[in-house]
Amino acid sequence: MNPQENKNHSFIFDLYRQMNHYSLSYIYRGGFSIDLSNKILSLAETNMANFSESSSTKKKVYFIMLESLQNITRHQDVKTQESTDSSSFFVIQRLENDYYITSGNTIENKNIDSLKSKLSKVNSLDKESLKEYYKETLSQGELSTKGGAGLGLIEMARKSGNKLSYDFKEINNEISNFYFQIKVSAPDAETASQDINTDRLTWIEGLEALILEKNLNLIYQVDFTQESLISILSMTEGNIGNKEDLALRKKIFNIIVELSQNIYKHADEPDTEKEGKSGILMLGEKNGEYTLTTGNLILTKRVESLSASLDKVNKANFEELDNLFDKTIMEDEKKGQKGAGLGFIDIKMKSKNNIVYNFSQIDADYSFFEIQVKISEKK
Amino acid sequence: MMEALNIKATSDTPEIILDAISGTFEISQRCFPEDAVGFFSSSIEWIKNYAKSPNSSTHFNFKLEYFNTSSSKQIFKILLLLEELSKKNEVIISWHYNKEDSDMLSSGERYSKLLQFKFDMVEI
Repeated sequence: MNPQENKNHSFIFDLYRQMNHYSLSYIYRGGFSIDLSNKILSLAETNMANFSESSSTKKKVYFIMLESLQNITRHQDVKTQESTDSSSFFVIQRLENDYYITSGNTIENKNIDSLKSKLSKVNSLDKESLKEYYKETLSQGELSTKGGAGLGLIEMARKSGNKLSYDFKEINNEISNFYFQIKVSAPDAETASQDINTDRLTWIEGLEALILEKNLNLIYQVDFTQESLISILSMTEGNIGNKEDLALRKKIFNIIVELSQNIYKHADEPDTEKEGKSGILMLGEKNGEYTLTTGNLILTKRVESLSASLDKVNKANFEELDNLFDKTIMEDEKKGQKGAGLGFIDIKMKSKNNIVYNFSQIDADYSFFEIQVKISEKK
Repeated sequence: MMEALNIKATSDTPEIILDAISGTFEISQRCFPEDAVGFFSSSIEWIKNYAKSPNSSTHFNFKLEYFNTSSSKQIFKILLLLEELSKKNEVIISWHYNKEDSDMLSSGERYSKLLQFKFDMVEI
């Protein structure tokens, strides 16, 4: 393994460690279509149902996500899209019973001041004054051409009961990145946070820089179950991979299935109360080459045998791999066997690449196991 | 005549129609269940029973979009039963694949080679 790869792996493990205390993180960076926005909303609905959230939390999160996503789709205009490092991004995270919803998009510098004044106005008001301000703004009906009058901001602040966190980062003398975060507190939270805490926003800004550097489009950290797999597939399908290249999109789909099912069938989860297995999945693309990465925990004592099975697949040429596949498919299942034992063989055959893997020992019992698969568009 | 087996498709499991009366034997759409062995057990059982008093000719259509590796083993089991049946009665296996999906084509060719049974490869 060359040093470049090693560097990549530690970055995934680092990220996993930083995100591990969240029960859900979904991060997407790229172009946003209405279809993708709807899929993100339905992914959140599925996850909230799994966490058995109260209907009040569900409604608030849904509303704020919808507004944030609409802000992104409305404001990703041609001018800002031309800049290659300025596509939009969206993050939803669940920490304990609170949700953090963050969006990022570029805006023209000339519009910053008016947006800033709206934001600081909203933050300066208490609950009652916000209600008044809402009515006032509504009656003024001062609509911008993009259809926003700051009403969205007021409504988001009212629904969440928390202050808005935001930041601007200049890209060049015409455009800047606008970061915006709202927290939806758990219903039993004693008091809404009246102070503006920007720590989490700063962390996400750093994360975006990393995502850009590593050419990632998607990070999904969740307890892996069949349900979470289905929702991630509905999102990636149609949104990831060259539309003209059906074979590639099917390969990506298949490999996501195999990697995710590997996690929930074979990962070793210390928290036995959990329904799924904690893990992380990432997707990235650069010049028509797609990279799929997953990470999960396994018992350190399994590292050796897992390495051996991966090495066996990696060392085999494609003819040997074919024979290995045939031999394995004809074998009878062993008692308690959870898969067909064909996953790694299939991944290498479909991707036409070796499976890069790495283990990072966490403690005597557990290690972090990463797999990375690259698939290229047909030339 | 045996009662037909009709399984509706879900987001991760295929539609399966096994109907001796109408002569429809078909598995279609996507297949990546959590528990492939459990999912396919009723179909495998049905085919085993059907093979005791089969139609004079059985035309089985595989129209899958995707299947995972744990399903590939169960599909192989179904194909083995069909190959066995073909020793006494006529069996036609049609393997449908999208013309751009070379992986689905390869899977069909692999099964055909393993069973030494010629499939009717149908490009769609």
